[in-house]
Amino acid sequence: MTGTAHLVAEAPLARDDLLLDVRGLRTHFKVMDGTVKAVDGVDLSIAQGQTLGLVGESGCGKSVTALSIMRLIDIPPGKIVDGEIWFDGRDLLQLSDSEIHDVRGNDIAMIFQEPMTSLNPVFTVGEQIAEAVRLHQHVGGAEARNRAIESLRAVGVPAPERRVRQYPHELSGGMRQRVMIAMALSCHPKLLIADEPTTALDVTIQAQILELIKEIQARTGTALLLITHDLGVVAETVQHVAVMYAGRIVEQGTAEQVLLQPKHPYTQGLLSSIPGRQRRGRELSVIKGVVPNPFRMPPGCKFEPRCPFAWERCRASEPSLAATDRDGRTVRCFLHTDEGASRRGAYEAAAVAAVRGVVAQ
Amino acid sequence: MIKYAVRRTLQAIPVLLGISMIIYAILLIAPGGPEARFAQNPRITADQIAAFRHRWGLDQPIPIQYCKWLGVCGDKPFLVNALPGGTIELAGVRIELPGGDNGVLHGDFGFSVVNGEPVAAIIGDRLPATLILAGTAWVIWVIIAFISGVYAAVKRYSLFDSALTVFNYVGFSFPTFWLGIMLITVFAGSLHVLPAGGMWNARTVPPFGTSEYWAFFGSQPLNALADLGTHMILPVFTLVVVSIAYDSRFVRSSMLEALNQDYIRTARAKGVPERGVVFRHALRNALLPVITNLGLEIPFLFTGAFVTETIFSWPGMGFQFIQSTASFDYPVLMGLLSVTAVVTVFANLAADLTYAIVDPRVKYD
Repeated sequence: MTGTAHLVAEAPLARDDLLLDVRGLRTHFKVMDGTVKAVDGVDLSIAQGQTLGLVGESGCGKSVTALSIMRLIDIPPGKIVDGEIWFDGRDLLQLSDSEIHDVRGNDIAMIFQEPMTSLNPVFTVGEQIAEAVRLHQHVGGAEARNRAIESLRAVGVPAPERRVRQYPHELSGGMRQRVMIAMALSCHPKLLIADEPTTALDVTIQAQILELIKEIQARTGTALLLITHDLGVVAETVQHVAVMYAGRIVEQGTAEQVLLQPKHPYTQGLLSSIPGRQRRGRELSVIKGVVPNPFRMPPGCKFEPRCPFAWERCRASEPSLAATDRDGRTVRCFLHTDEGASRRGAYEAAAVAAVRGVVAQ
Repeated sequence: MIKYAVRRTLQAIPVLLGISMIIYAILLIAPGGPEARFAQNPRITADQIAAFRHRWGLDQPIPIQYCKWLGVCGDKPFLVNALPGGTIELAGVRIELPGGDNGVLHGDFGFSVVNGEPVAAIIGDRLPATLILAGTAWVIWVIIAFISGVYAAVKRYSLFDSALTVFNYVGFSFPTFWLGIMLITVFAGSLHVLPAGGMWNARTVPPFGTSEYWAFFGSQPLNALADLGTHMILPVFTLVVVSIAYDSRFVRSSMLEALNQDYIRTARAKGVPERGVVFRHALRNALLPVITNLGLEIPFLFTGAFVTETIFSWPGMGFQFIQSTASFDYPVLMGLLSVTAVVTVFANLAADLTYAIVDPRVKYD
């Protein structure tokens, strides 16, 4: 067990009422040029019925984290090399293949980014929803079909009796994503993982689908892990936020805390780069530099090369994800340790300015 | 769908007509002819050759010959000649039909220039032999290609996958004639365990296709099957080895493509066990391109394998084709090629129709 995971294991987050508790997860991919450490020490936890947003740029490891939880990583080239994924009292990484099949779609369901290609083109949507019900609820064909119709009705699909007989290509993108949600909810999962569920949809449909996910979450009380790169979606949908960068969680807290008082310079950078009315006419603020090359990760803090507040300490070693002041917030940054105390003032001034720019909208 | 099938069938008529014109023209324009075999014979005079050419109509312009072969030219006017001729009786009334009575349109493929046998009878003799050999080989290699292709895709980069790749490329690169001759050398020449060629043992079994043969088949089915089977082992093995690679690679790549689709991830996320993911979700989609490919292989069942049939003296369509080509037997060649053309056109149609049944996205109207 690594030092990082150890710290978190003792942090106030590790409680018995946690539904999902990911500790020190490392998922690596062996490719031609070496090993890509897509997820390298992720700690995450979600309580029963809680909603958590997982935010970060493309390629930071959000989706790999979600697929690792479902044990859907392709092996090879991928491999979960370390960590524990505690779900409802069991470590998912220790389950046999048949045990994990019972978890998938039953206890944990997942919605994907691409509704256009995520449904099998040769089966009707009714068959595809009923398949999940038949697998997990052990009911007959007719009953499974009725449940499929019920699920479709629950996600606001009009005329569900007719829709179950249609093939995916006969439905629009928004309708297909509703089918995916209906499929995910058909077995009443305890945890719903939504991986960028609205990214591929039109803006108007995006709002509808988000509203639907929120409403269903409130109605059924299922926990939600929402993966997105859109901070606006986070603000509207979830109670808690975890920010990812280069395969690690860099900041975690309630949505209000993270979005209004960002502790990590990366979170602050993300907030500053949101275009806003107040900033009209001015050049868009960006986070300088690029995501580090996976084969040449910086030795210290992974954000250090792009961080305007970095100093020698940040190059020397990597900070751990540590609880800051109160409320169980955690952040992975030396600014919030004793060593960074003298520099915190300058950072906080910048953070206040960044947040003001967003809130002013 | 029925409308579509009817339309495609009607479209096939001009296509087949065009094909027959082109192959007829190519055959007759090519140098040589049925009289070539007399050229070196000092006892046959130029006059006799001219008489032979005249008798077979070879001295007429190619378009006229083609029209006669088709059955639209004759002693009656052009179009009238294309209609069926003769007399029929309808409700006790005898009706004289005005049309002609020979040519392909009248169901008459003509006679072999070499031995005077009706072309239809020759094809009727050869086709069953080819169907038996090519059909057996086809079924075997398609089954093996399916199993090995799916397994290789599921266990991609495994030892089995690599071994199959090597086997496929080796088999694909084997010259058929070399493999056939090697098999004959070893199993017939050295080991004396299998016959070197032919379709039946002439000492104990009557010739294939005759009524005596079928009587023998009826009275001693096990002996007849054993005799046929031992004659089939080497040619079937040859065909399977050299043909399996293409289908096996095709199934493998089609399956790999299906397994990489997003809906496979969805199925897994739903908790579908791996067997269901492979055989229900992936295979059904992987079948779509494979069906087209298999449809295109159906004509082979009718034309036969030229090289394999020739090496093993298998009295099928391919063997006949090689013999008739060597002797410029135009009527027989035209008959064999016409069968190929018809089967190819309708196999394509069958593949397209099957496609619509398997893939709900494909709709014909």
